[in-house]
Amino acid sequence: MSLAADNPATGRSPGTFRRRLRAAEPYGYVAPGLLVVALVMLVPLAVGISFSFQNYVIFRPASRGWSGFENYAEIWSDRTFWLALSNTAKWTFWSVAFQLGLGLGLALILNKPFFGRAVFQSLVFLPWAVPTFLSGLNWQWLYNPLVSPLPAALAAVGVLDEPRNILSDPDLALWGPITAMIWWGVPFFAITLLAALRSIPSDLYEAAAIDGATPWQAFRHITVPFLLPMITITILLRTVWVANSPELIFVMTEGGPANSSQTLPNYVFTSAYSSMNFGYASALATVLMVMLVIYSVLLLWVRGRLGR
Amino acid sequence: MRAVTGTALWLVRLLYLAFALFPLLWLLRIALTPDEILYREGTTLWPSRTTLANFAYVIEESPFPVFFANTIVVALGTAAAVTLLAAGIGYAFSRFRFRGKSALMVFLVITQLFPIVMVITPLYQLLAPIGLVDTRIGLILVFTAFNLPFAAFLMHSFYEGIPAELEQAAMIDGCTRFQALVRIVLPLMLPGIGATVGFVFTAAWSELLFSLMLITSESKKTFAVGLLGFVGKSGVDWGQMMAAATLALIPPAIFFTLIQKYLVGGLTAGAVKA
Amino acid sequence: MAEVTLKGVAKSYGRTPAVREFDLDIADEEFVVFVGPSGCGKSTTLRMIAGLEDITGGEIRIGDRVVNDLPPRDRNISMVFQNYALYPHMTVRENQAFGLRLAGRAKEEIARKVARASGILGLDPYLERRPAALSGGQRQRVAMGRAIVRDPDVFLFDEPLSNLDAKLRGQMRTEIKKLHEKVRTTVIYVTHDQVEAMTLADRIVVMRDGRIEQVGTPEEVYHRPVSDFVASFIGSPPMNLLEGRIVAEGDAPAVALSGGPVLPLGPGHARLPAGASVTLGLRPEAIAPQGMAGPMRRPFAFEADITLVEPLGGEALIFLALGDREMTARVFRPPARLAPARGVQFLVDLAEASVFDGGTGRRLGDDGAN
Ligand SMILES: Nc1ncnc2c1ncn2[C@@H]1O[C@H](COP(=O)(O)OP(=O)(O)OP(=O)(O)O)[C@@H](O)[C@H]1O
Ligand SMILES: [Mg+2]
Repeated sequence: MSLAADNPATGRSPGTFRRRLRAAEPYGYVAPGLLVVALVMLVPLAVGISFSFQNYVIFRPASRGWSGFENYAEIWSDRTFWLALSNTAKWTFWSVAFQLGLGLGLALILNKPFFGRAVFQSLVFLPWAVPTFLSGLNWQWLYNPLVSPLPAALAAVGVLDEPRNILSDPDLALWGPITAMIWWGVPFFAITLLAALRSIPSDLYEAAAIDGATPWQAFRHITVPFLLPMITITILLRTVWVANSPELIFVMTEGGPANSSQTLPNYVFTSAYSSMNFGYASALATVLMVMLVIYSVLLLWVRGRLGR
Repeated sequence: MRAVTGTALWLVRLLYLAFALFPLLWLLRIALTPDEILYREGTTLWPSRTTLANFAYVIEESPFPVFFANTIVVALGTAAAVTLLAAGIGYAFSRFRFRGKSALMVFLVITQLFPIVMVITPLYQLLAPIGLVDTRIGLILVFTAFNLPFAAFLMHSFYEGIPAELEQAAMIDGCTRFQALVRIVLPLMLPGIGATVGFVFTAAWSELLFSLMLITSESKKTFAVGLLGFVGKSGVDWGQMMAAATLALIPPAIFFTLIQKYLVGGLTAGAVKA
Repeated sequence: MAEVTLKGVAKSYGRTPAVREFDLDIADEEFVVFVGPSGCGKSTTLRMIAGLEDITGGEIRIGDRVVNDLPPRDRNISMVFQNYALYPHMTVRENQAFGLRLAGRAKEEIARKVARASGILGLDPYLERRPAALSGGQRQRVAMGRAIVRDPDVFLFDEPLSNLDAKLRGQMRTEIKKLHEKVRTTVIYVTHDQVEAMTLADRIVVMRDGRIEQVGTPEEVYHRPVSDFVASFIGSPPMNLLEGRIVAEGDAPAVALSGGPVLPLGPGHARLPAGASVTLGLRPEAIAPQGMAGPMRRPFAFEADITLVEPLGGEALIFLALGDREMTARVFRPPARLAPARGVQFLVDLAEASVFDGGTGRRLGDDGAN
């Protein structure tokens, strides 16, 4: 049956070979996927970063060449960049804050049984299935006073002075994409938070009830601490995603009117494809990425401290 | 008191429902409204007459059926590729201890920080010489890479829900590790696989920027690009556009409705560790 | 049908050793039980024999084969897991047939073997059910059925009964014993329940911190524990361990308990130097109030207070205070009047006493002469 036993002299080597093979096995499972990710994400990323140190405008191929930090210096004095940066912060903060608040509420609602819950759940989760840009188009129409009752409704409750399109108002335009983003993203928060809620052992609540805790106290001292790790991770993922996502703005306002709703990713996109200035666009994108990395590290650091 | 809270709860639930569904309802309403009365009755909740003409136009005369077919091919191809690759990564993460594992996990998280807008141009330049620009395969490749990290975490969390002893029992019963994976683990993973397929399908179905930049010929456009083309044209026919949009919603909506239960379940299994 | 030999087997996870220098010869058809406190490496050892963990050093043989690098499926073993690990998507029948199907056995053979195993374990009514529709005890049986249908060389059990309630555990224990009598296959069984160990084992292996502390028959381990660790681990209630000092040597050695009486030791302990600090081990059933004691070989009388009595039906535990030490005695057929009292006369059989080194805890003296 066993060669190893028949021949003790050679019994060793097939063994060590087999052991090596076994040690290599996990790499075999991760390699194909990682290869794809590395080739399709990492390589272009490196190339993109290298663009940011070049003078690279598509219609001026002759002037292409290394330019050091020139693009970054230009960013520093670019008023649109600063405007886009503050808009990005505003766009990301409000989108994520509302998604979190509404998503948490929805998860709490869905965590308790009620008549028709399954149907309710699939209906309220539906926006997540809507392609992002389509939700942008959808809300664009909803803000159009000619084909939607929404502006009239907003005027009726006093948000607007008259039924008009907020997307063409420089003071309010950013709120158009923000509402679309909130609408689309609430289900994601609800799904992850619902999953976290379900993983809280129910006997904790029973014990708390026996100890005389009010529902609010139970929420404060059991639900919140249990949800916190999931909440921070979800906030992290979503913040980064929202901050990086130009689609809604591209579709709904194209950054206008007059850059009033310009955000960084959309500015990158338009710099690259309208002005065809790839060097500058790449520098902008690199700045965005560096800021997101710093933000993530900070958030994870805070999370680590809270966890202690 | 209890009755009051009960009513208040229902009120809150209905508000959520209205917020989630009203935009979708409006989409459908405009698609069903005949052109002549679209602006005249623009703000009434339901038009005085409805028509299926817009849907008929989209299906029979517009290029949308081609866009649809392209999108389905790309989304299914992406979902299949991502699920297969994520199954491997999740399996290794869940069942093996190996050098570099935590570094790899961190790397996958970090990929989520990359601005997509930054890689589009370099990617175009890399794909063009090998003939992958303006092809569905190229699009599938790109979508696969961008959806893989999250899908790998999702799969990982589903594997964690299946006790390793099951595979060990199977290996003692006579399976190789691979047989144990195929005959024991994968059948139990079906909900997780379904959730991952559905999740990726929905994401790929919705993608806009890459499709916009990497696809140029009309015959290969995905519907997202097609729909955006509609907007660009002068004299947009809102009704037809809404009809196309409504149709475009159906596949991801079906997929997503089918999988959401498993998505919650899978994340619950993983949440214990998060 | 096979012996299992472990020679210098070791396992470490990174730098931390889990099992070290493990040497053991298990005879064909023998029933060996590994016991020890949680984390002492029982499961790890079993899983190395199964091939589920790589070994870091040493050699494992099953029959005449070195199996160090063979995958589990080539070792011809079967294993029952603590959580049973039944395939949830297969019926009871399919669960049992799975291994045979993989081995490519003929349909009739599979059917016959499954029928036989199900018959032995009383699984016939549940054959078409899925594991989710079974009780804990039924699942446990299916796990055993799946293990025996394959006629393996060795059965491995990892705490197979620990998820059952006390009554069912007792029943299943008896059934495992009967099963072993019927199928006569080598069994390696892990538990931390010393009752299971005592009742099932031909030989018990007591483990501590990844090492073998003692190997022996249940009687040896019970009556001649090699250390105070084994003494306190085997037996319920555990052996009374009393600190003391050797006060006389030569022909009449004796030990003085701290704050208690001086007890004469047998001639086997003659060589212990006076003044040595020792731990005296007395089994609870070697102690009884006068009048309730059975026959004793070397009885010694002393006076103590009864602080508490725990009646257990056919027997009772008596807690007594001797000086500043607590002891437990176990008596059979206790009379109803047994109650806490002061100054009660007790007898202890010193022929049953074990003496351990006060520092190392090792057994001292050759009490074969007791
Ligand atoms: N995968 C692992 N990585 C690191 N250490 C491990 C691993 N598995 C086990 N150990 C360690 O090895 C030691 C022995 O573990 P093992 O599971 O064999 O204990 P055990 O005797 O079966 O205990 P129990 O009675 O609790 O089941 C423990 O200290 C444990 O912490
Ligand atoms: Mg164990």
